[in-house]
Amino acid sequence: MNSSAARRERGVDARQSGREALRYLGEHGKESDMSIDIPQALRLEHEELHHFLVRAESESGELAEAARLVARLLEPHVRKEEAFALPPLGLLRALARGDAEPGMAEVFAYTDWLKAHLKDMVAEHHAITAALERLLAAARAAERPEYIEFAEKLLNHARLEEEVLYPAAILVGEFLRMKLPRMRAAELRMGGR
Amino acid sequence: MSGLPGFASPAPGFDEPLELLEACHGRIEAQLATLERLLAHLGSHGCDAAAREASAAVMRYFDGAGQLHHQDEDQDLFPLLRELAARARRSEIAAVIDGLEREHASMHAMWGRLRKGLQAVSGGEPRLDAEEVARFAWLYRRHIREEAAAVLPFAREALSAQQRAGLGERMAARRRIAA
Repeated sequence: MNSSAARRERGVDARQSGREALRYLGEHGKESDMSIDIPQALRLEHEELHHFLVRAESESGELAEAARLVARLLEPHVRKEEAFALPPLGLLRALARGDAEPGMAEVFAYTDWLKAHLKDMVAEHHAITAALERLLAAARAAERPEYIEFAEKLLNHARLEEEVLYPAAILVGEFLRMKLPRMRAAELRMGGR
Repeated sequence: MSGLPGFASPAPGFDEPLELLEACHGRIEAQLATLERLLAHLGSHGCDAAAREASAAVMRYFDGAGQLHHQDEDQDLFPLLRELAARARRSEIAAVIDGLEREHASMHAMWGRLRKGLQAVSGGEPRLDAEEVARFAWLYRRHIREEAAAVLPFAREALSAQQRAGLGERMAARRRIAA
């Protein structure tokens, strides 16, 4: 089961989990920034958007229909984002500090995938955007400002991914290719474990 | 050779080491397909006997034959080809080999994490990370394609009969030790 489906099944309240995560960060200082993992801020944003979408699906009429279409398109797309496109961003803070280490070479598996599939990911955004426009129209017709805000937020989130997050993730890989010296497998294993 | 780890079904002999390495790629692909089917199966059937069996089979392969395959390449084939590529001034081959070696390390790290999920499945707990499976399978498949496209053709062109025989002997010895 994919992570967002699992979250849905568990009925995770994104706002609640967000508060818990923030509390955790408060207690433990900060999360590790040396791992190839989705930054917490993005994970929480995805969860919140997902939570709101599930709520929209439970409405009735055109609003629910439009929300279901968005969900159907979004589900496989988010799965790919969470598997490949977003985890490299977890290294950004460490790299900005100048902390590059051989084990980070594993990120090439993520960033090479993203480079190879960037056009597909953007094409999926186009389909999602069209579905969101329909949701936006339905929310306006139903005079539901919370869903208008949600659809606009999701539209901007897609733009943010295309304009900032995907390129940044790819740059993480490109930067490390330049930064990491050529290392033999044995050395890399030591660093990668 | 059928009793040796990693070569349970008919395969080329150790006197054809490059063909043997290529045959391993076919087996790796079969294991990756099993892994992906397992993921779907867990979603629909949970941790039933078939899932536990598939999980154990995938672990057995990547713990055993999969590791030996990487060792064949990292310890024997790649150093030899790197030397031959330098002599032939084929820097593009050396660069591909560097990348493939690096990927072995990445796959090793990914396998370590994936294995924990498979172990859980073997123990009756459906805790296999779909994202981890997707990354592992994608990287492995691309890796195999690159080897098939660049490294094996160069090896066929550059390795002498004597070098092939030496490579085959070392691969056989590695499996005798592992058996």
